[in-house]
Amino acid sequence: MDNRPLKIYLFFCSNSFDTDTARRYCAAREGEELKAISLPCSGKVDLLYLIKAFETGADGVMVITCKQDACRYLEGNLRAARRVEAVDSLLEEIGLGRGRIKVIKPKEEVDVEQIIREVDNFRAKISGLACSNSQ
Amino acid sequence: MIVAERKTIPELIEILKGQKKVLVLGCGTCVTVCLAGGEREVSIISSALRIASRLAGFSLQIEELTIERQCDNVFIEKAAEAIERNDAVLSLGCGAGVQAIAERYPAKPVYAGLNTAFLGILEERAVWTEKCVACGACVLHEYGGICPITRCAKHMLNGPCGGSREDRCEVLPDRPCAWQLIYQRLKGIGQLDRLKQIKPPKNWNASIHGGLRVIVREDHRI
Amino acid sequence: MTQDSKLAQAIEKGAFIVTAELLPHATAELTVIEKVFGVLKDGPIAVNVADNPHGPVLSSLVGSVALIRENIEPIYQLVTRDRNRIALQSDLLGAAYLGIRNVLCLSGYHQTLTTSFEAGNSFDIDSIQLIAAIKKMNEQGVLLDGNRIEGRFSMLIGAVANPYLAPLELNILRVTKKVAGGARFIQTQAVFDTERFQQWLEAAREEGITEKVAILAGVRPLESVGEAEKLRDTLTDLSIPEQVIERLKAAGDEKAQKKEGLAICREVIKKIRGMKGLRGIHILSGGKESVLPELMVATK
Repeated sequence: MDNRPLKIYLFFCSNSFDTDTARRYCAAREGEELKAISLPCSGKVDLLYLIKAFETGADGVMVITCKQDACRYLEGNLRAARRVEAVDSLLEEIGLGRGRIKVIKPKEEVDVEQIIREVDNFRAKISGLACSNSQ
Repeated sequence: MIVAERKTIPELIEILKGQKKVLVLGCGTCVTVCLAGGEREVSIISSALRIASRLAGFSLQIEELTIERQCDNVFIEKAAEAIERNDAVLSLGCGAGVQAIAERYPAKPVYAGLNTAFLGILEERAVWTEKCVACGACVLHEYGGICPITRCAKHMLNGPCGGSREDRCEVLPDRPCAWQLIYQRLKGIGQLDRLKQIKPPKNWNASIHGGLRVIVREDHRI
Repeated sequence: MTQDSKLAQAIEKGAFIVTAELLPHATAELTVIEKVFGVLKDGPIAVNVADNPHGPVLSSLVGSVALIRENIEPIYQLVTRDRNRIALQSDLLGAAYLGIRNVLCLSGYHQTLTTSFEAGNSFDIDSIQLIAAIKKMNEQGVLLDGNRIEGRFSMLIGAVANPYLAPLELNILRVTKKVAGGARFIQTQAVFDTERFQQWLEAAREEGITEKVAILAGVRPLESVGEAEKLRDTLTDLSIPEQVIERLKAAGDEKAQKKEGLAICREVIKKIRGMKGLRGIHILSGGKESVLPELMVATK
């Protein structure tokens, strides 16, 4: 089971990352199972979605929010960050350790390059961790 | 309402070790409101336990269910089949709920998934504070509606302790001194005189100190 | 009700009173605390024996008896934190039997602030209720449950007041209740800010409190900047002004800080000892009883 492909979920705010870019990015990563889930606002992510992602085999989860103070729903990006923190801590309790979930918050309104760079870094980091929870 | 919080996942794993099929049972009343044991928390905790039990080497089979009220037989009935088909129940109800389930199913192991903490209110978003210790003999009328038994760490009935500060309690820096609140409130409603009499020692019989409490209403018993 | 302790007589006579304190250790051997008896013998009219202030130590009842054996008059401290009304009254009867004649009633630091922070508490009655209960034992020979005490019982009742507890109205209200409950003397928390202390004393005087009870101002020599900061940060009943800590800092090394702490304490004593309505000084040495002689001098 150690040979199974790396499985990573990308939850993203549709105002800072577009679905086409996300799909293209995912499709280009052969040998990895990358899933991109578009959200009207990153504040839509719930503890439950995030933990379910891990239950169904994710090795890592990223939540791409919009830029600071740019949330169209005022504080969605702040909530997303808090929930990611809560899941990070829950994962530690579970025994998977911290660092398998991460928020990516662009510095500019639309900064696809920065997002892709951070996603790359995160993928590299996760692939270095031990396999999470094979089923 | 009753306020509770989840036990840690390692604690729950320790409790459930050796079980195969477990029903995680939520309660739709108080613990739903305080975000500890409602439908949503049942799902989150179940997910967490599935992953954690896999890692611990004994993959738990978990069924999820939430009933409206665990402390009431009428509602417990709705969980009967699910309880029957599982080896054990992890109740996310309060302490009363857990015991109600356990009494109803003598042959089934029933475990508590939460720590029941106190009777309190939602003070602000996601902050709950204790307001009542259910002492059984309410004195709120004498203290401007602020309970010195619950909210003063020393249950002082005749005024603050020497460690009282205007902005905090002696015990914890982020808790107000109940006596400062009582004083302000009684002053505000023109009842400061209430504080001038010496209140005699409290009769704790009606509280937990008097043994298990039971209330019987004969007029409703037939 | 006449009280026969030396402290009671000094209060009666209107003498200027000096008391001190003994903090028992976690020991079952008297030799450990005997060392300090010498300094306690000279000067103070009576010595408080603290009741497990920061965690379990030799009981204040036994510590008091140890003092009696050395001809030192004890003020037996009793906190309501650890004992319910049954144990409190039983211990009081025992204390009277053993010759203890003065008792100081306190609620005690909350147990979470002690070394036994996991302990449960009692807090069955509060300090004012304890005061009133002892008054009833004194005057009517009756316990809280209505049962009669067989034979005589007499205990001079003391209470504690924090001059810095704000607001002043609430503070005075609380002290007034302690006096109404039956306290005959009051020992205060350590005084550093003498001006605020004077305001409090003045307010107490206006309420007629200084007429009814003997107020003894607590004073405490600080040993070091570290100790001062720790006390300031952990105990809310103590008000240690920033200037005091700055003075200790400016003093220099540890030895110099200790000397400065004593100097500050002596200055406080000199500033307050003549204040109208003050009946004496209570030297809180915080477990460092050996500093007593140096401070006794300033009280004269």
